[in-house]
Amino acid sequence: MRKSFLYKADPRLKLILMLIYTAAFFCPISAIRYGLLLVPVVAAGFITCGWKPFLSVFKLILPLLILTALVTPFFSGIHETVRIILRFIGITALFFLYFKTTDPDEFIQTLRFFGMPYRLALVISISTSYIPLLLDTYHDAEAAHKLRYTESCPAVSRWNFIARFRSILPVLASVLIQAIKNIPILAMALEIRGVGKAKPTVFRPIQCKTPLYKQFLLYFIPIVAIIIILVIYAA
Amino acid sequence: MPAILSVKNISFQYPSYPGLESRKLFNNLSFELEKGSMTLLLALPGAGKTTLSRILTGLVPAYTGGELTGEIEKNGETGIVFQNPDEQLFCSTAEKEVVFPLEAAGLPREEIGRRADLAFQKTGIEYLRFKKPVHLSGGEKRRLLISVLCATDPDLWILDETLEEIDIRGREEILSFLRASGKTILILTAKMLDVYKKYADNFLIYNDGSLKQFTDGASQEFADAVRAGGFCLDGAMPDENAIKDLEAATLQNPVLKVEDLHFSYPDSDFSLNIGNFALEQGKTTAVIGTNGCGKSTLSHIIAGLLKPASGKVMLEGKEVSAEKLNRSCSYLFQNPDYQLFLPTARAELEYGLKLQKLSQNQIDEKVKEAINVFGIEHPEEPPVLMSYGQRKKLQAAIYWLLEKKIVIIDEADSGISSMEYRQIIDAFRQSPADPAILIITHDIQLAALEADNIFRMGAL
Repeated sequence: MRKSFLYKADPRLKLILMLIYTAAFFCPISAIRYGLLLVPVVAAGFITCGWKPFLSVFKLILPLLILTALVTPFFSGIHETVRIILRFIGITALFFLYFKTTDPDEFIQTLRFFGMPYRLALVISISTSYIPLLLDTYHDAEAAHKLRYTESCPAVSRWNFIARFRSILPVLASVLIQAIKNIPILAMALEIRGVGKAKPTVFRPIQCKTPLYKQFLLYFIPIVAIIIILVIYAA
Repeated sequence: MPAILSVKNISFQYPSYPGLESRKLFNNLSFELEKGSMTLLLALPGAGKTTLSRILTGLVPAYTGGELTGEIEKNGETGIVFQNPDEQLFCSTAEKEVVFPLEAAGLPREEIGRRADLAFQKTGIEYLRFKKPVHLSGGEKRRLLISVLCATDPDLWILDETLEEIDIRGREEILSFLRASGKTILILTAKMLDVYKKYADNFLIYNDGSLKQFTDGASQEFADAVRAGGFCLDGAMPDENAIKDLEAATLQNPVLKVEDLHFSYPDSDFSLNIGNFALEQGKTTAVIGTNGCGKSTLSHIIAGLLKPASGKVMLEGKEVSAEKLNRSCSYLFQNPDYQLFLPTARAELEYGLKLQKLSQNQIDEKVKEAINVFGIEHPEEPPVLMSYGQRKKLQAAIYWLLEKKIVIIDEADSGISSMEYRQIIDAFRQSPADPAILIITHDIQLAALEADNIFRMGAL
């Protein structure tokens, strides 16, 4: 599972491709074309993670999607609503796949390759790698809160959404406290590792088994061509 | 020998908040560390060990604010291992943790590779090199942070309660390596482990605002001071035969029993296989074993927090749901902060009782008792501002009030003294719920003192 082609792809090419793809999801094209744009992304997601883990990513944006589906039709019509929903799904899938298959260290090197200063690249990389860390913290906090119930506590029905929502609030509060506490501590951890004291070097530079030109021909050009056809043909 | 660190008359006070006056720490503390020495600084939890370690590293008051007085003179670079390793690890693999400071220092690739290889080899964790730090056990994380120090090679190494959660063989290996490194080592701890006597050559006891120095760890004077300060447990080590294999845990009337358990993590080569294990009501069971052997994983399965791939977890003879296990188990985590979210310690104590729909009078009475039993010093204080040890006691008090059938205490002794840890265990042993207690520990002496049965997982 871990060895899908996305893991092996050059992170610099992947970043450019992700940005082009993201831009395409903002182009004024029909919902059907948005759907067609989504097909390769979804296919890549299933190949990379499998059905269940890939679909579970969208659980996180499900409330947003439901809200959009309920509210937007009254203001912008059904077609625009579908476009917005597909846009959310597409962009979420793109960013998820990029960060799932790109090592944070290679991400820093990618940003530096495009001329970003080291410190800024480090901040962006830590911020993005902090999201899965927060998710881990959420799971730990959720586990700890589950254990605060006893057998004498009234059982909560699966369908009692208000009670279930209320039970999430303490977990979120614990995660928030942890996250805020971690800000100065992370700064301390970075300082004692000597960040900013010298011009940094790289121990393992980006290395891809498949040469860059082959990757360019194998997937970059074809995917960009599909995007151009779908977007320009519409125009 | 010249001094690598000289501390003269330092005192420190964190910033105060409205209604919460911070107390002054250290009160003109002075000491010196000779180059190449290994110093053990014993102080009770809450005395300011973590603050002192961060002052010496230049992180406090720079990042926290507060007023520092006195003089600190350092002749060299300082490296530190934090008390809570999770606060210090932020890379995606163990290798990157080690390599990160070397890259930041601008070292050439060959030198980085050489130092990283050596660091992993010396600390004996080459096998963890490409693992994610979040997947490591508490002891493995600490070993990894020692590898980082080994690679960066500062002149003064500060270890803030680092060795407590490392297994017995690991402590011996690490101390032996530290001693041989010729570096100046400062170990801050609340527990006097026997192994320190063999390697340390300077012993400082900080108690009630005064510092006493000893140069002979084997002297009676030092032993008396350690005992008087509450830094060790009184009791003999258990007989080898008293420690049984985990699988031997067959009991007459187990409250909890696991059978043919198999578990593995995704993206990991670790797997746990347990044929048979049981806990008996009213009895205390201790499980000891090497770091990463699966003690915490087993505890998580018992508490219904992890689902085994196969096998049975039976509560009072019946296979039950994960939710039922959650509601029947208390679990004192290594990190107490995951469940704290309310503005005061008292509110945290009341929360679980409110979920049980008890009356306010009943709640007040029970909370008052818990505050007394666990010595919660400032119940109106926000938990976020309490010391690590106080937060651990608060976590224990929260579970004690819930009176569950099973209590799991998972290496929860960092940040609290041995005496306080025993008090916590004793409080659960004397609880009206008469629970089955499972203690996960590396402290064989504690296990011998508190447990009715001691089991080993893996080698010791």
